[in-house]
Amino acid sequence: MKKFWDIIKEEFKTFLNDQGMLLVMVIGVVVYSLFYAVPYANEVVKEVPFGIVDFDKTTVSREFIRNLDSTDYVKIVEKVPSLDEAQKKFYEGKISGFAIIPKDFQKDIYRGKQVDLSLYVDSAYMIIYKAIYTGVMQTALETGARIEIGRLVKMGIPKQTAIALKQPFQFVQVPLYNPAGGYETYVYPVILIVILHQTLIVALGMLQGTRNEKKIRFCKNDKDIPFVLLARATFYVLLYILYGAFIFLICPALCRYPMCYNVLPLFVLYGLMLYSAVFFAQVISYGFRTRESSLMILVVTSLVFIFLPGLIWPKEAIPAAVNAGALFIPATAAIDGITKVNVQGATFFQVGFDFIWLLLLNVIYFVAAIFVTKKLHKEYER
Amino acid sequence: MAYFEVVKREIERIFARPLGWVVSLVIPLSMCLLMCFIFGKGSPVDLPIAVYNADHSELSRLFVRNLNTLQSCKVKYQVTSFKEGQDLLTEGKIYGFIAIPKDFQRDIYRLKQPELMYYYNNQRILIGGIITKDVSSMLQSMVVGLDAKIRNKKGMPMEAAIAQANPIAIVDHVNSNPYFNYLYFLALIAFGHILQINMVMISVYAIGTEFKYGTTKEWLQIADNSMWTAIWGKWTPYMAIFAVVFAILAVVYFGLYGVPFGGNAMLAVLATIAFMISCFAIGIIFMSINGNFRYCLSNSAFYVAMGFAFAGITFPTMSMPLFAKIYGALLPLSYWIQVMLDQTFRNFPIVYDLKHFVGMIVLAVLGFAALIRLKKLALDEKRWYQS
Repeated sequence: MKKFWDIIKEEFKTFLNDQGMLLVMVIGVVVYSLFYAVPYANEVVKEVPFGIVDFDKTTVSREFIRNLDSTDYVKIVEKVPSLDEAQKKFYEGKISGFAIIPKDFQKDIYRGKQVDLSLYVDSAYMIIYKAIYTGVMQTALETGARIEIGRLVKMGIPKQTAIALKQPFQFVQVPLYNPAGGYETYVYPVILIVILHQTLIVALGMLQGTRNEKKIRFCKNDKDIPFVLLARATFYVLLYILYGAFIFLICPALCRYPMCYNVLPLFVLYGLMLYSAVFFAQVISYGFRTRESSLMILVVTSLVFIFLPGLIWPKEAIPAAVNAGALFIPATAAIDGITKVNVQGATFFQVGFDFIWLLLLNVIYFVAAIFVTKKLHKEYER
Repeated sequence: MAYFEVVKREIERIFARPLGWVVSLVIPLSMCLLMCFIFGKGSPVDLPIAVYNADHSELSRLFVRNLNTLQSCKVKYQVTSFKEGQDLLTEGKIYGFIAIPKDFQRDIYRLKQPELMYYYNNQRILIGGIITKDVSSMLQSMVVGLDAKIRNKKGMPMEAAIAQANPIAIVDHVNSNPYFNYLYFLALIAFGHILQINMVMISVYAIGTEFKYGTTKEWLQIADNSMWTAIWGKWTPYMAIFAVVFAILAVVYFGLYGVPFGGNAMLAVLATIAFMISCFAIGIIFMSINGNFRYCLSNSAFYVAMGFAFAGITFPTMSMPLFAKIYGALLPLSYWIQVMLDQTFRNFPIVYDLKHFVGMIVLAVLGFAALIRLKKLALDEKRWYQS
């Protein structure tokens, strides 16, 4: 046991003396986890600049414009006289979409004739499209319903009955886990785990890459590999548990994303992910022949690792083979379970599969890491 | 000619160390294709939801049937209690859960406005948004249908009944990406992000290894002491590889996945060339910090790694704080992706895209200006073999 502790201390020294590792594992973790949130800091897309072409210019059309402007979704910045003019503003990037209120808008509505409101939106940006569409749809429905109820009341139907006729039931939407629909809350839990995982495997890849480049053995005797590997892994796991404590326990209080403080299952899953990531890094380091290899190869994988777990883009839409492959990468295997525990408040039993799978990954990569390290030692001697 | 000598020398260097072609060919191509597989379906279908039907009336059964006709979702579980539905949500087996209350139909006819409860996992905004949009527009048309039917029964012609039930109809002129295909959109930005990382880093690598192995003087000598010749000769083989990668991706994206292209192809190609040159030129800026390969490589990795978020595509630039806007402006990706989106989906007139070229050209010029310092460093043997 004393020896185990000595190896951990030794590894701590290695870590402190290695500028590159410090850069990735300390500055990298801090900077990425803070800065990745910056673009999303405003959380939701609000007040999208919008244009209106009003060919009607009546009380009802003006009321419609006013109501639309007062929603959170769009802000009317341009009132233009023609379609061409609106198109031009759209090309110039001044507006993200526009609506055309046809002539006789008011007259037709009062005559009981359906009117068509033309909506031109840039849907290349889904988020913007959604904001505009929701705003216009809501305003159209409300305006329509008010006119309709007014007509029913004029026909002598009591107002309450008229409302019930127009809206036979209430559709109550209850958004769970992220009530405000914030974008940061959506992507951050995934990105944080990917950042922790990537900094860990990049730095360890650098370390082993250096050994490969300079032909430095992992440890003196081949039979000590399992013991030394486990002890060194423990050092990095402890370091990252510290980060985890900050990210999972302190950050949610400072920032805004929801966390359930389901501490025990959370840290069990997280710890298992870290161990398997360390062993995984040792395995893939076989391909890293120089110190810089890991950085050059792994930086670009982060994007794929963000989408692989099937949280941002649903698993159901990803081919089964890709989903199966994702299970073999520690981060993408663990994110699902961690989010269930942390965001959805799942109990330990509800993530049983995730737990068992991560245990299995640990066994697989531990054995593979020993094998790979022995193979590297043989290659050094050549 | 000196230029061709440098090209020849660089090709030999690529063959001597596999990392060069792994990072310029294998990694970007495989990552981009993997992204295509992930988003291959374009838009999600049959996302699992659950229904708790406490009513069992004609109307509630019709409602469940209608739910199953929706493209985006599928009633995978008909649960018998409220708790069961909630557990399924927590376990991540379903994304949404609809509870139809007891006496739903009867209460509607009594004009009591019963409540239809809909719980959904909004942590996953994209999924929650897709299902919610589908379910609520289905409900809306059910309501309009019900209303129109009542009016029709009262003797109003059906057409007029529909018009009065829904006075303002929205005609959606979606002029870009009308299919709401996420592949179209996300694959393009993913390609850009992945290639930006690899192009910037390969440029740093190609220059940096000269310092690492102490061969900068030899490199310059072959180029007749011209930094300009030296850098272009060095880049040429890598640029050729990236051109092949871009071409393969274009075939996959426009050919295999059939993404429609409505704009000016020439402009898109020019933008891609400008993107490539500005990415490579940024490599010079990083290497001219101090000529220490590892240090400069780590810094360049920092700069490009977050490009995906800051280029303002997944989350629009206009909603970002100032810092993010500035960072975004320093990434060639932000400009390239605008031109590509404009030309691919929006059929923009060319004039409106010229400003994006200015951004890329400015970044490239800054990179070439750093050549002056790079030459100084290259002639300084103290910069060699640094770790």
